[in-house]
Amino acid sequence: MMIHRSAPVPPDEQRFRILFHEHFADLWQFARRRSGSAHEADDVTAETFGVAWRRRAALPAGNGVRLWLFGTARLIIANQRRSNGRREHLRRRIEMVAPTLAPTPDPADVISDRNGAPLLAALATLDDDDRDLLMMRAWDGFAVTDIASLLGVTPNAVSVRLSKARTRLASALHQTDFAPSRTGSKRSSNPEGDAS
Amino acid sequence: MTDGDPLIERLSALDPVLVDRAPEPSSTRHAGILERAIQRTPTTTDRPDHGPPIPPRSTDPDDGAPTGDRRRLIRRPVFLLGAAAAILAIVAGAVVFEPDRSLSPAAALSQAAENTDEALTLRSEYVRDDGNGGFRVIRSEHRGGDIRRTFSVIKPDGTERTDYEDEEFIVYIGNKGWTINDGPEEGTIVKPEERNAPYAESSAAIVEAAVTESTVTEIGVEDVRGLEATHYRIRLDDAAISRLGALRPNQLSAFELESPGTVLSLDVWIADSYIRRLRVTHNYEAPGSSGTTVEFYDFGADITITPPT
Repeated sequence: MMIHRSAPVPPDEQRFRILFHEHFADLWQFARRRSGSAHEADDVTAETFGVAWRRRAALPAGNGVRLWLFGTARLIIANQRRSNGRREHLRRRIEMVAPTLAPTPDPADVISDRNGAPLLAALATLDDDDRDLLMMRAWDGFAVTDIASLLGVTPNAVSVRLSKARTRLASALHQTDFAPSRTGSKRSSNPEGDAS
Repeated sequence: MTDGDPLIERLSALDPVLVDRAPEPSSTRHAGILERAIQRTPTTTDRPDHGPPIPPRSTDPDDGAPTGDRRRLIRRPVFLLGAAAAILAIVAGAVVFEPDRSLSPAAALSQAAENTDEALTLRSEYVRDDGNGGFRVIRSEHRGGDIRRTFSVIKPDGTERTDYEDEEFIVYIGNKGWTINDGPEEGTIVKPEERNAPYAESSAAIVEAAVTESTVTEIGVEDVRGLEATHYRIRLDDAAISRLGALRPNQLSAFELESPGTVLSLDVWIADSYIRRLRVTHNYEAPGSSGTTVEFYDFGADITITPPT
């Protein structure tokens, strides 16, 4: 599905294509970390750039556009989840995906399960705010100031929340280590009360 | 960006994109995504245009792409990790935007106050019933303690006109204030106690001071600027009046609460765990008066306060 054009590309479209190429990989990765599949990440990325295209005349300048793209992708992902008749749909999908987590005889997989799956399962038990914070820090590699900008809170608030989230992750991991069969389909009790 | 924390380091090594890479720039998928964006081909998702504004502020974001070191941390078959990540994403979806129905009214208000207190940017609209069928309106943009304001009156016939007092500051930046007649270089030094405290902080402090488990009543769900907001009424007992009285005057003045002892009713609307509206009526106001209403919206909007030109 390549785009074939006989006329010159308008300047605004040229600028948009540059923007697309500059930010595509980072945005796709951001979407993939929060999606169930590469296909869903493709959808989120296309939709995010679609919004950017529609708003190309008013996009933030400089580095601001990068965080604008991530913030828009977050909204799209949230909207997507809300519009999908979430709970039943997701429960069915969990049931479909869960069998792939069954132990295999491959020793390497056993090692992977021991080192990775419990931590992911622990992460899954956190509430969405904690999990998103930790993902933005550990996976997206965002600076505290960037997270603050994305969430519309102060950097100090982000630091405090990160610290609490990290503590809760450690606690959840400890519980998960003692219950290795859990796949993270339930939320843990919160040892510190409210996350905010 | 692991802060040298072993747990975060371990988590970094489980990044799903270390094993599920973005489409290559020369690939059909890559080109297809660009084409879908430009041609506005509908996708499976809703447009987010009606969501809250996205703050585009940025300092110098770190590169989120995986580094060589991080890639080397992945040495094992990856399908298991991918499946686990998929479950993680699914479970994450199951809890996003799920309101916490377990909170008591007081706890919900307290949580909203805490969230609001942390807001860096927002907009507000102050409307005061003048008792004669008209209203005084102040619309403000806030970034931390910096504020830009416009003043107007709505007459009984519904028409609105701007209405600036000469001495009224329309912009506060840091410790300086500017009136409508000031040029950008003519700001006046204003003492902190002589200007309004940041609205987010003040509204949160007021709610925290006023609320106890025994004095809050949930009225119902109402629309506030297109959001389904829960309306609470707070009965101010002597202890709450005392706590409010202990707040700084510049935290109370924007909400006409300098005299909490005469408050007839204090109503708060919250949505998405943020304070969206505060309404104060006093016992000296005319019967039927709507008192003073302050609404908060555009949390996280891209707001920069500059001196008037």
